Amino acid sequence: MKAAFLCEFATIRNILLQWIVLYLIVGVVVGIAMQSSVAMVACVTAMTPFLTVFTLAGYDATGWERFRACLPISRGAVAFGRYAMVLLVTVIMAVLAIAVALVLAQVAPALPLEAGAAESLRAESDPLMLASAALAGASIILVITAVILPFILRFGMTKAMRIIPIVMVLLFVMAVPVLGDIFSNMQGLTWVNDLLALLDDEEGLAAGMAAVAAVVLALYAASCAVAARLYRGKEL
Amino acid sequence: MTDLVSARGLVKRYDGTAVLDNVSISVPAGCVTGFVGANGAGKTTTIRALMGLMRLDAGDVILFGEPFGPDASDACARRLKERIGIVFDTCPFVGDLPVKTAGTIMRASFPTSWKQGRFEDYLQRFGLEPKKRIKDLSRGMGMKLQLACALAHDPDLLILDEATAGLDPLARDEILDLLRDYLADERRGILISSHITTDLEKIADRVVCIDEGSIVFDLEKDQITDMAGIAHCRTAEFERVRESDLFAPGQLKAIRYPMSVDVLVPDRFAFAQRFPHIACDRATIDEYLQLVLKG
Repeated sequence: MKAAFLCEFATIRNILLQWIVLYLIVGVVVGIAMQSSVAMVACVTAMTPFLTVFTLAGYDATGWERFRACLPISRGAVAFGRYAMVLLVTVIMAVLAIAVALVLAQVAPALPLEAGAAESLRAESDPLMLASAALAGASIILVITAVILPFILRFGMTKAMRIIPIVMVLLFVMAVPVLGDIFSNMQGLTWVNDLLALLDDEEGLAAGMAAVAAVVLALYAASCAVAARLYRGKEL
Repeated sequence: MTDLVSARGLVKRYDGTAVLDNVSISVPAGCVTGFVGANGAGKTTTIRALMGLMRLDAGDVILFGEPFGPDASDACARRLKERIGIVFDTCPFVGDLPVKTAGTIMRASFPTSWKQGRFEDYLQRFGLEPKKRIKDLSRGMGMKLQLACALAHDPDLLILDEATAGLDPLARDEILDLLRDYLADERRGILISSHITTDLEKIADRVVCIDEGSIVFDLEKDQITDMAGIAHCRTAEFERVRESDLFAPGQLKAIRYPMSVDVLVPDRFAFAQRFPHIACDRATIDEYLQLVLKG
């Protein structure tokens, strides 16, 4: 596992440094343009998993994948390394986006911005709020990543791109009636209000974030196990 | 001699078409096995099968005395692959990375056997700039980087798939010298697939030929380059040769030219005794291959 992770990290390390520089610029531009650090953090964090998945999948399309399969690294470890790397890069970029937001909050009054924009950036400097934005952005995309990554590992980027839309449509078609049944059996939407009320205070928000993170990570881990199994059968 | 790798009766079919049909090949310790054949003959597919990169319809692969394949346990695969260095026809490392990062990747993959000092020595010897991006390397330099990576973890078995293809003659000789040095330890072995049969004449102990997924011959190199010959016959002489008992029925391989016929002779000394007036030259692997496949 360690060897696969280090291999993956060595492969992406140089690009990661480029991304950090790029994200710093994008973060500042998006934050100022949207006049919202919270939105910027969510956007920047959400960009990361796909960027990492597609970059690494692009590398696999060269002879690298076959060569790696000849190294003393198991297929399961390769899948684990890929999932761990996507998660690690997402966390690094989320931390970077939060740092950009905190810096923006400090320097916004000194920047030549409209008064409302500067005030908005300055006001959105609560680390917990920014972290929840990062978690929200990352969670949505990580769940989608959990759906697409097994296909990308098993079939390669090109073929997976033909399969994934079909899978997504099927999942949507199956999910709509199931969710419809669940919601119709509930007494109105008062539970949503109750849930949102719980998130109003800091402890509630932290607990909510932990719950969301746990669910997303559980899905992600299950996807990793499926991907490892599928990848084992791939002919290289 | 102990076989480092041995494959018996490998069969692989895609959509009913056999790409490997009862392929058997081995690399004994202290031996260089040359693997020849036309493009698409099945050389790379055989190497993929040896490395457990695909499921087989039939056949067995034994690596270092242990059965091996895609279903081998992770521990077994790791243990056996630790002992193999592999070089493909194109440099497999991600092009955006600098040369030295290829070493970092290999060090992570071979944590116990990797020798960083040796890798750096090879880089220096091959004139590979550590900071240069891999995509900026020429094909030949990419090959040298792969060789540096393959040799720096001290493998017992080296597998080279068209590794000398992109190299100029001087560089190829340098690589062949390197491979000879590597084989100074007789516990090691090399499987080298190549179109450049002159390289195999210089280094191989055994030559295996594959065509359309089947092994056509598997001979000691000396049987080809020392024993075998090409007899250059006129038409009348060819008829006499054909009617002689030197060739088993259906075994005569010949190519007709407008003024002559070239005949593949398994034992040129016996042939010279029998037909002293027919010119019979030593065969090169290339000529032997051509007559076996087209004759």
